[in-house]
Amino acid sequence: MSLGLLACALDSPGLQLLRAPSAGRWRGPLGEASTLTVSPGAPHRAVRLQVLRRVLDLQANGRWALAVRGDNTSGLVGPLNNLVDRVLDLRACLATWPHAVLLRRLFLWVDGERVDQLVRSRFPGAARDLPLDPAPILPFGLAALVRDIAPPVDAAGALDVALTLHRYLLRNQSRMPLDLPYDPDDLTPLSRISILSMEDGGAGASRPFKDGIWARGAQRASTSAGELQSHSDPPNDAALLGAASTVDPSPQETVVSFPSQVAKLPSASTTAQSITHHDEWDYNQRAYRKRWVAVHERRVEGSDLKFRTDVLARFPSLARQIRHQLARVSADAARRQRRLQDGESVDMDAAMGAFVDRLAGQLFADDRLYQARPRQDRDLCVALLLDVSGSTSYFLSDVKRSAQAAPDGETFEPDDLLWQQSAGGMSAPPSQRRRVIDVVKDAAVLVCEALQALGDRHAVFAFSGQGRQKVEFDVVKHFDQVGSAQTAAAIATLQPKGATRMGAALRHTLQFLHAESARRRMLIVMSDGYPQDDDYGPDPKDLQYGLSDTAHALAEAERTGIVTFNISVDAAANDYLRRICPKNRYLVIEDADALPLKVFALLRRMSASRA
Amino acid sequence: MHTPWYQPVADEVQLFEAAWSARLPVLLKGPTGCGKTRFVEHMAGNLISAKTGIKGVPLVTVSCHEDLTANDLVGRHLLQHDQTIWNDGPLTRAARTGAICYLDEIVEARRDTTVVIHSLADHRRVLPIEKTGEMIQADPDFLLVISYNPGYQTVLKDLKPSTRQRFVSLEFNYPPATLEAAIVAHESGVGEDLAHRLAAIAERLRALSDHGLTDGVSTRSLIHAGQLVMQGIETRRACEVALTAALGDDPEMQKAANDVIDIHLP
Repeated sequence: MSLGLLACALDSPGLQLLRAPSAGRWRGPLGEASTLTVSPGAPHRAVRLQVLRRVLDLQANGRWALAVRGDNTSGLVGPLNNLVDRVLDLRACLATWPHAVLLRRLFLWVDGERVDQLVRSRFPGAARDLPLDPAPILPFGLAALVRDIAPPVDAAGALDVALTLHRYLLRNQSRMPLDLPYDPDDLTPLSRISILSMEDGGAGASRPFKDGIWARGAQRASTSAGELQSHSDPPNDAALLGAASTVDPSPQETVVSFPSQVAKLPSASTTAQSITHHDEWDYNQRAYRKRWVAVHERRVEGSDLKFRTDVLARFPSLARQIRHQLARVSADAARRQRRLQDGESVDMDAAMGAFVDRLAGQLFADDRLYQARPRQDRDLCVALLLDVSGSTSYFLSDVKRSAQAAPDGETFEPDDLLWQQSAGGMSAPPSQRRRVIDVVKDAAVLVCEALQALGDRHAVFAFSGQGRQKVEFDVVKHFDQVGSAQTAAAIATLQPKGATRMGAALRHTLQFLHAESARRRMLIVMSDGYPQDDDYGPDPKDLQYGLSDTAHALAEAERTGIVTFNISVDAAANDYLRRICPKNRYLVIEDADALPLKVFALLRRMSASRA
Repeated sequence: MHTPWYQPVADEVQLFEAAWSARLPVLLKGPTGCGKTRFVEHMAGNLISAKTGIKGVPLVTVSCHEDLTANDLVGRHLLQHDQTIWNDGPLTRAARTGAICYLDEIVEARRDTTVVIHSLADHRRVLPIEKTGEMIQADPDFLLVISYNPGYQTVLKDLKPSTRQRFVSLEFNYPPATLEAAIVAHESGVGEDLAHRLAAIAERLRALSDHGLTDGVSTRSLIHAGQLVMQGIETRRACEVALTAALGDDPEMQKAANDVIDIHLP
């Protein structure tokens, strides 16, 4: 979705947009940092505004970065706190106060206004969209109070202001019932709830501040404390809340068929294993451990001959591009170039013609008398090495969620329950959910198709295993095999299991590549995390050992003229890949769903012309 | 003669002058449209010639492409009347007469060009011409300069290490935002305010293209956008045609790019 890309452009990659009935920005609940819920019917500009706000929320001074010390040196922690030695995030901090929902609403208002002011200054083109979702009116005459407070500069400051308002409201408890009459199913803005018996019908009614409460020259509406403004809905409120009035948690059934992912796995048959021992680099000793790892190699075959067609059906535009490529390559190969100014041999027809012309008295003969053989073959071979370790069994939506563990003691408010149910993840039936390994297999099939169309020799290998005595290396498609439904069926049998001892797998792959005679040989590795194994290094917690061994294996490959390329779907991979490969030798794909498309685009880019 | 204007970003001017004094061949590494060619033109205009002692060395530029062979660089025989006449290629001309020869995007050219470069790029500074049997000693004012763009598209076409280490390497990149704004303002004539907005847009679009495997928005395309604005085109439209279009054909990418442009302009 293009707005996801917009978030990337604004330094917030990995932001997921979810179309679901949502209560919106001013009401809460807080939701999760990396998932933005927007109403299904909302227009593009409104959604874009939400994305911009979220991008600003995610910055260092925004609400998601809030970290308040439990010992309350900041004064932001309430009396209900029992986590004195911890650091509290926003949600936890709000929960330490009584009437936490009211406090949350106030915070959302104050911080929301702060962020909107930032939107006005940083993204002037989006300022016009702010009236699509303006801040609701502050009730109980709080507006006057707020205007006299200095605008907060960050989320902590906003929380401070919200607490001031909160204290003010609770101080007047004689005029307010003890419990806020808050009905979770009533999604009307806070401003509409009338608590005081005194209402001002029309004279004191004011509009939402057009330029924000803290903009320069904001109008000073005359309100006196204690009066309630009753006010009609801000425009487009309904559009943003969408179908929020009916809380229907059941999602629409999406019809997505993955015929090859039935409960019964396609049968895989494997042939006998052969065992090879490889060295391993120990960065502590700065030397190789000789013959340290035993790699068990076996061939894999599959029986699901429909897998290839299924994958191509899922990516129709790529399939089209592959067909066009195939047509282009065949056309190129057939053409011999004639009438060149320079070439390998004489074009006899042209030479005769020039000779005759000169005899006939023409002074300036055409000097394009040569011809050339068709252009050289690409002469490229590619080995694809797939990490099929246990972590590739994670479902895609979970991969994004894994960074956000729910904090201890999170209380489920009715709002949160509403949000949880509509947020999906619990709604899609398990058989339709895709795992990392599924997108990796799709990508592998597409790469094979593309390379087959270009006429390049290619191979697919997969590795997993446990411990240095048993690294499992599967030859899924050998260089000698022609890409077909058969080889795609072998890819279909891959299942996640085991660890990621990447160094050994790389070294084993090199053996195959060294046997190839192509002028350019390439090794593409697809992984989803750190190189890790039970005994990958004397200290299992030391990730550096595995990284160093992998870096060494890559260097060994490069030294023999093999071009290596690393693709990872681990969002954290930027940190470690940056240290072991140059910038144009690795690619991190945050949205695993997009892996097949991205890998395909990468391949096209790298092979754009003959080497 | 008018020397083209160039805004230094780091110490590239001093480095190039030093390489020139020692006649060391130079490699310019960086993305397209970030000022490499303009830099070479600027330096050529300012360097002191060894022969005449005054400023200004001639510059021969060759834009390399897939079909460029060694013969294209060195020269070939042409048919004229009844005879064949030897015609110097740009590289030979530069070596003979004393000029800077700038081979732009050298990795795109055919492999046989590497051989030709090797002998000119070390201390011998000779150019052997097979077809005429000559061995040309390069003129004192000759310098070899090459450039290439180290992106995903050159992964399979990289320069061999043995070629690379003959050259002094200067890294180029898109300038930081304030400098880029100054360059855009100078070259296109737009006001400072708009120039800064364009530079901010470029920064965001480059972050976008990192996720899309396309080339980043170049300084050159920013200047184009500015020039269109000076011709009266509405700013958003100018940015669309000069910047978004350069990001490739993916419609999602284009929508995101247009959003980036829209939110940064008043």
